[in-house]
Amino acid sequence: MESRGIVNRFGRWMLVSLWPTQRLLWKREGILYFLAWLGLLATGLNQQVNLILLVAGLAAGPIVASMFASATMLRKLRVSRRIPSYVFSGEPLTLDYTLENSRRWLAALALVVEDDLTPLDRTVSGSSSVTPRVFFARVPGMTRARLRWQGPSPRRGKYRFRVLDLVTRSPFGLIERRVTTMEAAQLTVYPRIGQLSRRWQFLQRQASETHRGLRHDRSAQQQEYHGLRDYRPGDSPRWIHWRTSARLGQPMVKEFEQQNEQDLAILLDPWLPRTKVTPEQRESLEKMIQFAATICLETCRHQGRRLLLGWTGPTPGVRQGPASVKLLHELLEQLAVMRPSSEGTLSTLFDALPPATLREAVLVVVSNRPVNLIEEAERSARLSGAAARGLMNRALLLDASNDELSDLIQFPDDPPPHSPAPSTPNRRLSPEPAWPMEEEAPEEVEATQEGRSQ
Amino acid sequence: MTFTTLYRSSFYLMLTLATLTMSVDVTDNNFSMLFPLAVAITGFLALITVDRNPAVGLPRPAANGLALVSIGLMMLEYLIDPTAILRALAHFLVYLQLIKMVLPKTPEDDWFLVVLGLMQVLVGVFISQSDRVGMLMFSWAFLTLWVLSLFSLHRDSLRFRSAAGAPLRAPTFEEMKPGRTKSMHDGAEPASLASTSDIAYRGLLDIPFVLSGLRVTALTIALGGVIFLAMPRRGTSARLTRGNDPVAGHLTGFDDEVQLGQLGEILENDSVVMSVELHDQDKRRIKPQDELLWRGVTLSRYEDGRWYREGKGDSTLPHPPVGVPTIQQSIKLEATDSPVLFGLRPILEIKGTSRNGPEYNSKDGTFVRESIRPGSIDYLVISDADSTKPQPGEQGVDEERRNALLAIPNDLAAPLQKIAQPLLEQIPPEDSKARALALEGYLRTSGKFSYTLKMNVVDRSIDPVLDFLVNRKEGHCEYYASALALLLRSAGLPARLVNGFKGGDWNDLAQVLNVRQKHAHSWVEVYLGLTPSGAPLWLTLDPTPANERRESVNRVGGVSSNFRQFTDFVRYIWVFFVVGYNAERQQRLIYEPIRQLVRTARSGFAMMGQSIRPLLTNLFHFQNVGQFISVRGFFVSFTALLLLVLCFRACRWLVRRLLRWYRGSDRDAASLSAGVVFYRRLTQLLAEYGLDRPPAETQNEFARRATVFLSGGGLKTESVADVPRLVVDAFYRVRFGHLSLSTEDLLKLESRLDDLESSLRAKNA
Repeated sequence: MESRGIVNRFGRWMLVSLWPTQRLLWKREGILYFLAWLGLLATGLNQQVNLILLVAGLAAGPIVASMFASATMLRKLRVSRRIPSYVFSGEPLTLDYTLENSRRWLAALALVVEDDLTPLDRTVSGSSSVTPRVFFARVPGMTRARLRWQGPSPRRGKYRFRVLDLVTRSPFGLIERRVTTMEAAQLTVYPRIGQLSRRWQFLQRQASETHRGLRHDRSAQQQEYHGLRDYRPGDSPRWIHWRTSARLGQPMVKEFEQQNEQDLAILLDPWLPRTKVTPEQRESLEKMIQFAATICLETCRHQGRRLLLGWTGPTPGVRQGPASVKLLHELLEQLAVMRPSSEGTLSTLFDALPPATLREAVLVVVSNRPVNLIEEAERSARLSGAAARGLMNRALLLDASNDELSDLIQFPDDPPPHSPAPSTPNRRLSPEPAWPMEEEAPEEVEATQEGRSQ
Repeated sequence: MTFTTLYRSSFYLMLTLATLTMSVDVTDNNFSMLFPLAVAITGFLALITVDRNPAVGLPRPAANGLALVSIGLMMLEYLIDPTAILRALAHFLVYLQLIKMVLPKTPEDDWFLVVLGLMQVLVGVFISQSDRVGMLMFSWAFLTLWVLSLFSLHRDSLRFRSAAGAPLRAPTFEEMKPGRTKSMHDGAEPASLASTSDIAYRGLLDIPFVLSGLRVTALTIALGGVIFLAMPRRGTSARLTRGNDPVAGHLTGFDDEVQLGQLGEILENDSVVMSVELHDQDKRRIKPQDELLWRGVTLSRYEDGRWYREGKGDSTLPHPPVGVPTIQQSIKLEATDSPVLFGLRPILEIKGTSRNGPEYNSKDGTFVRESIRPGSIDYLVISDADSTKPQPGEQGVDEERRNALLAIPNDLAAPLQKIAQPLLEQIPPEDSKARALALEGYLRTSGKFSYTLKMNVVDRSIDPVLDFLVNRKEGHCEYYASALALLLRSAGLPARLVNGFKGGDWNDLAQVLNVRQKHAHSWVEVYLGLTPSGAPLWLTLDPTPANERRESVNRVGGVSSNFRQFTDFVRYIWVFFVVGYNAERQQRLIYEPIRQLVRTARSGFAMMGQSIRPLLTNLFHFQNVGQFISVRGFFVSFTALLLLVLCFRACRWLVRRLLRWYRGSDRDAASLSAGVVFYRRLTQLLAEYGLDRPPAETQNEFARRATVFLSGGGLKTESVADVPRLVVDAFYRVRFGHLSLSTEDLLKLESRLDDLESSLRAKNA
């Protein structure tokens, strides 16, 4: 085993050592120029006309000069990239590229920075990749230039930046020289966020109220534990914290934070058949995930509620917590990488849910196939028949494959079916954004000075 | 000047030069120089119209129509003169070029125009290889390098604009000097394609850019020279022009009949007739000490002021003798319509370019080309170093020829005898040589005659030679030679006139003699009888006063001698090592020195080896182990091991260098880590507001001071007061702790620095 590890390491070292970080590529103009030069040379040699040979000799200069001058152009240049930590699908992706020219005199001319953003999991993101390119026309010596690239963001998923290519065709455009620098980074593209409609508000309210319009009962134990206080007449004996009371010599009770909102559990069934997946099925799956993401975003705007996200699959998954920015990022990240599955059922997901959720929470079940929720609930080992039936009172089942989500969520691009166009949702997740998002930010060039003592 | 204006004007100038190269040496019509003028004017018009506003360019259908008309014109030219196909093609190239110039141009159109220019230059070098064409070609080549570099920049900016679909924006520059900040914004949208490059490349023409252009030009010249000199050549002569139109000039005075005074027409012409390299029999270069006489034609019959040549002899040149001192003349004769070949008498051997060699006239020992081909020719003449020896293979003078060589017009006999007799009274009749020299001296050194190029006639009723002898007593070499030849004949000495060249301009730089038309000369050869070996002996006489002639020759041209030396040298290089570069010169210039170097090195190493081998043999010879354990053994083993280690390290260094060269470095040695970069940015930002760190202050102390400064700056800078401390912490971690910063830290630092920058600016505003 150890020897195999050594061999692998050696092999990798060989590959890294031998893989060139600078490449020379002939462009079409260069190939044609070279062929014309060969023709001149052949004519001159064949006909023994000295002036043609002289023209051919002079014509060789640009070819050779291109090889050396292009290497000179790329010396003492440093390029770096600044990316956001996340971006929502459908929103513009903004990347900052900085080129630093450490040469004292010679300006960097006509340089192109090429980047490559590739998905980590193609089953999630498909083959969508982004290749940002920025053009630095002229960066004087001892100067730093910054350029902003903005383009459409790719589909949801995790992406990685691997290498940055600095490309020049200096000085004659015959040959292209590329320098590859390793600038690894990762970017998570969250699912697209839409606007929840009034109908959704209505359905949600309906699911959280009894038929008499009252909230479903919650035991006090479902309230958030907040701290300890002195016993007051009227407090339940069950709230007494005996250990602290014994220590202090007087009764002390637990104090609970009153939850205003009922817990919400979003259960997803991202089902796709094993073979012959239609584009409509994929689209409905994506819409389902976008719907879930939008709900998470709206829910986490306000604190005081617990939110749970569950999903079926070979192994059902659950993420939960009090609604907060931190939880939102966790849930959105999970949704970003959520993979479709042909296995798993809602019944196994119910088995994985915490008891409190099964008892109290409003369940929003979104599936990509027709399901019988009662049957699934009854099949669950954790739920008895009555409990399963009781669950139905708090559950809202939506079949994405049947286009039941179109009334509940709209996107800015979609034509609104009944209501006026929704306003652009506010996607601020935290008090401070990832970095200052300026519109129409101009290119900036900052000069650096060398020689200052540090 | 904006980038686009500079680029376009350079481009049109390059095209004008290409057309000029093609047209400058065309002599068969008077309109050839109109083409470069048309290109220049069209270029100027295109620059101020279509290049600024593509909408005013020629519409495509009109351009297509004009192209068809051009094809028609070309066909018409060809039908009028089928031999001038090259000229018709050249004109067609110009028509196409003019049409393209007034169209809105894409990068593909620009490439097409460059190719058209190249084709015109190639046509130009096909037509002529004169030094004028060469100079224009070089100028075109250097300008093309410049234009291609600008074209590449222009094309890249256009390409990126079209790919990105958005116009390029001008960057914002900040001049970072302490205490002064100047910001220039220019975010205006470009109005046209042209202004895209103007914005992008503002400030392009700085000294480093020009210097890098010069470096590329120098590399091009060097590489071009190496390729040109090293490319293998066939044969001893270079193929010259293949154009249908000869550019040969007429060499007056070297025809089969020459009017007296005709030679004088070219005595004021400074153009070069031939360039001569002189070597002795050991191939050493020699510099002529006296003015050499380059023999061309002989004229023997005189009648009414005209000289006529004799018929041709039918003997051939015998094999050259071996072991005699010789002068070898490598002659490059410029294009002329005359078949005459020049050389120093007596000529032992002559080698030309054609298979059969030049034709020999055994009657007078002159040579002619067997056919007149366009362009200059190279030939080699080997002459005896003793100019008084007879010409091998020259026919003897029989009675008939003798009478012909003594014939003078009847009306001249008596006057000439009257002049000659007093001069020859004291000299015995059998001493022909002395008699001839006396007559020569009468014209040359008596002082009675002077040299002039003016052709004045005093008495038109008499023969011009008699008029010269009796009345004018001044004239140029033709008169002097004619007079002497006739005087000699009147004294019973057979004589003939010789037309050729005398002397030349010696160039010390190139070690070559340039013979010009102004060096044309006439002299006389007098027959003195047969040598003991039976060969006809001719004595060369030059009756023209040498000093006066030399002064007259030097007056022609009017160029100072130093400048003439340089221009002749350039011309020599051009003629012999560019246009006339052949296999023989290549051997001499390139391969023979290399071979010599290799031979010398080999012999040197062999000598070294011979001297070292015995030493090494003794040193490394150990009869047994006991001998090895000795001082000598220690020395040998130590040296061997040391060499082994050095070899190993050298190999390892070489492999690393090769790997690094092959892979290229992705991280420059001088690159800075992020922490240091941020720190640098902080110090520069704070320096603008007078906050500099003195050398005695640590970075931490500086950060604290900066924090106090920012805290006291009011609301605008309070919020960013913690930035210096953050940056310095990161700096310490990187610089001294050799740690790296995580992505989050980098992002945070960058954004905080941005906040600091904007706060300081806001405060300043």
